[in-house]
Amino acid sequence: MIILCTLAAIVFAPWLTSYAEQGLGAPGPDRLLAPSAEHVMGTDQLGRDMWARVLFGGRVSVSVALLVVLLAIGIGVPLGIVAGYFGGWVDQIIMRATDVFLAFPPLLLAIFMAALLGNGFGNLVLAIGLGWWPWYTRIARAQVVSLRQRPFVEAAQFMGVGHTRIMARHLAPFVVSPVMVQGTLDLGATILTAAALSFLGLGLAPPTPDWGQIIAEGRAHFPARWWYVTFPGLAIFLVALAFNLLGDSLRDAQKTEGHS
Amino acid sequence: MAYIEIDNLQVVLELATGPLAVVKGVSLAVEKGEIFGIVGESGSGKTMTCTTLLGLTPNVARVSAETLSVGEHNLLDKNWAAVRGREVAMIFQDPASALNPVFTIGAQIDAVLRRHTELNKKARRARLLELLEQVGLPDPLRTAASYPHQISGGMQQRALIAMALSAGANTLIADEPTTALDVTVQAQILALLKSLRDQLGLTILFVSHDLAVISQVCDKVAVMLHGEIVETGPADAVLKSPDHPYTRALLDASPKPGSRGTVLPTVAAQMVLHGGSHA
Amino acid sequence: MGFKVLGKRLLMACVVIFCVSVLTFLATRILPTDPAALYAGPRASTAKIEEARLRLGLDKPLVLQYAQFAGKALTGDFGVSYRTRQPISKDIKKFLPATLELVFIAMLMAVVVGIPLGVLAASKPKGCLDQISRLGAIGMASFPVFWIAMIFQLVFFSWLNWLPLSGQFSRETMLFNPITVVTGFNSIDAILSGNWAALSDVARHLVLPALTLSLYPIALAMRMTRSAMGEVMQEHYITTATAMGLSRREILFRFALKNALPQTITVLGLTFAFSLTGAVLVEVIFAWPGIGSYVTAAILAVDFPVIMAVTLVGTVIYVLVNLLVDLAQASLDPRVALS
Ligand SMILES: Nc1ncnc2c1ncn2[C@@H]1O[C@H](COP(=O)(O)OP(=O)(O)OP(=O)(O)O)[C@@H](O)[C@H]1O
Ligand SMILES: [Mg+2]
Repeated sequence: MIILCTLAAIVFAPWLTSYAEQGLGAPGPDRLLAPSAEHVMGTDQLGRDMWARVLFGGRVSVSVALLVVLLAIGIGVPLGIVAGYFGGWVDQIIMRATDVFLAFPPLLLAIFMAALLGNGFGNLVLAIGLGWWPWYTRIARAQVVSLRQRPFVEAAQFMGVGHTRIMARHLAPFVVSPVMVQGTLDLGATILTAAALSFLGLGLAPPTPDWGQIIAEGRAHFPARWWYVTFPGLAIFLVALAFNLLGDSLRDAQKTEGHS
Repeated sequence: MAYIEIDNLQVVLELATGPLAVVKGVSLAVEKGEIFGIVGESGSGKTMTCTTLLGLTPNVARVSAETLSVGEHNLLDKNWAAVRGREVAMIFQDPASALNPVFTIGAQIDAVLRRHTELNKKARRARLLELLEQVGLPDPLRTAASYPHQISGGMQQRALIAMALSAGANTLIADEPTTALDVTVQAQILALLKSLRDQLGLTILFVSHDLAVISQVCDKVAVMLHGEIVETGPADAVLKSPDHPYTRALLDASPKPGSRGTVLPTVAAQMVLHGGSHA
Repeated sequence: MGFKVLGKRLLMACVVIFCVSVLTFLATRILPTDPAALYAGPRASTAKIEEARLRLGLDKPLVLQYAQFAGKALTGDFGVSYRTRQPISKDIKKFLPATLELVFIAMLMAVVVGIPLGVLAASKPKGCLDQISRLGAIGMASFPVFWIAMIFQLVFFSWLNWLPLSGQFSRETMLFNPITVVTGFNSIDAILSGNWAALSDVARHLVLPALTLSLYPIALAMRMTRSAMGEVMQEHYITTATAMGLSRREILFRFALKNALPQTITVLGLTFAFSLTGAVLVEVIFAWPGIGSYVTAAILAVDFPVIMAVTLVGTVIYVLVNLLVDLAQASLDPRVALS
């Protein structure tokens, strides 16, 4: 439910506010207004409508999160399938690489990479994604290892089907469902990570709206102008909560499926 | 009134697929000091019947009965704290998984002693060693300090019997206690149960699907089929001249138990018998 | 556990730390930003930048540079901060205790609050407490730490005025009851020197940051304990214990929990990792003079050696904690311990 509402709100952002151009960065006339009928969430330090900023910020935050997860899946899953399928030293190398990446405390690697890469949309995605792929490698590998000995794989090998084809056609489909579950759960976590990075000033360059960055701005006016940080934070919370709830119920569903 | 009274016991499982009756009107009367056998094929509801005496039926089970009592205790009151361990204890098919792997045998029995007796630490220790001795464990000191995986299956089952005794139960439910053990050990455990009955006057409800085993230890026997008791009576009589066709079929399937009395056969003979029943 | 296993784990940890150091080192060298230019400052002339390059040894081959970097890092020398012009190791030593103070409290809370709640939730699967704990845990995992920190400030400082806004102690304490530095941990130092006025002040300042940082670890500990206990409670030996009449409490908190502990104890490693990074954000909000504040200032000043050093130190600590957790896990289970 929350997800649908949020996604709808984000997609239709321009129609949900009369301050669309402020949402994208144009300054407005009245600064730091408290919430009122005209500005339900108040206005920010440049007089922009907070509701518009939050809506448009959602576009950025959610797309960062989606891209991070896609990037992580894009790197992680193929590596996992290859590691699981070939085993041996290929497996060893890939899995030791995941060990090294997972040795970093989660946010720290992202902070480090973001600091090195500098601000920008692509850099933010890259910085977070680089620390995230090993999880998918592990999931994909575990799945493939349990399938490798199955007759259909051996049959395919026997019939002379190429390795690439076996991996793409016969193994990849089995990896989809656990990866989907993890992906949904990770969307919540990546939204939080992205918000944390932009809060630290490692996200997007203004005037692009971004939840973490709006909160960072709002800190200068905190706690007097409480709405400045409260609403974007609430938005982050709701979206992260929605993805986490969805992921959790997907995982439960998968578990019971697995048991029967 | 008999010591264990079960009258018209019904157990219905409320499953996602709908209600499933697994015990359909079972009635039993077991006298004090008796070893009462329940035989029947897998899934006939033997375990389910027994677990109603301890309130250990699964969450989805709905239990009802006209009478359900052990000794003084009316089990329909569900006052399980007064029953579990104090009055009725249970030992299971697979002793390896019935013991907690991360506590020593001594610690596990001690917990039961602490719960059910007023003994102080030193007295409990003495009682523990005495119990281990009583169930025929050769080196009580060492066994007490061992973790379950460090001792054999037979010793594990003995330890569980010691635990049941330590609670002070008068009634012991033994659910296929020897199925997971090999034949020589099986005979020893059966002998132990019998001697404990003789010494302590235990009442034992003995579940098995092995007629040969039943014929060795039981005074009376009930034959279960699809959640119902189809025949019941003194073990000798039922096994020598069965009334119900199902009992006859069971007997035919196992190698000539009727030709033996309740006397323990030699180990060698039993091995042959046992091997045959599995072929 | 044999020494062989111990040795193997230690070796693995060393290899991982080595790779991590190579990775962090390479990252700073491969990327388009020029360390020499950064060192020389924003408006430095080309000559100045070249001079800096020579001084930093950036003209030498990468392998040599790494060897030099690693050799120094091993002796605890991470170079000089571009921003403070202080040796980084000195800065880290100064800021680390404040961070660890927060991290330890968060871990402690995870253990004393999260684990018991998880056990209780597991005692009645699908029960009321179980559902609440599940939702609560998901909720807590969805808060942006830095935001909830500010909301706490809003509520407990601005509205209720119960607790101080930020910092480690108030100005009065600093002026009239200064804390004698012994360990660098304020609360411990206050106790050691019997400075009770300061202690209560320090404790009041500690509440909000510690609470904020603890939320997620508590939720995590609760869920992990719950799921580990859920499996254990299905085991036959739990049925045996019940059949023998042991109390529910003893079964849950002694017999079952010890079996669930190996999984539960991994919580410690995870919460440690989280608190370490969460501390970065919490410290910024509460103006807590720890590593987090230090590294954030470094980020804004593009002070690479500091960022690199903190990443490295953080990772090494994390790897070591995980190693300890592994060892603790192995020693808890008699079946593993003996093989
Ligand atoms: N938790 C449960 N959920 C669903 N069905 C169950 C459950 N427990 C038992 N049953 C069903 O109840 C019936 C009776 O089971 P019970 O365990 O009493 O049989 P049993 O006679 O002890 O068999 P066995 O010799 O295999 O131990 C079986 O058909 C079984 O499938
Ligand atoms: Mg059974």
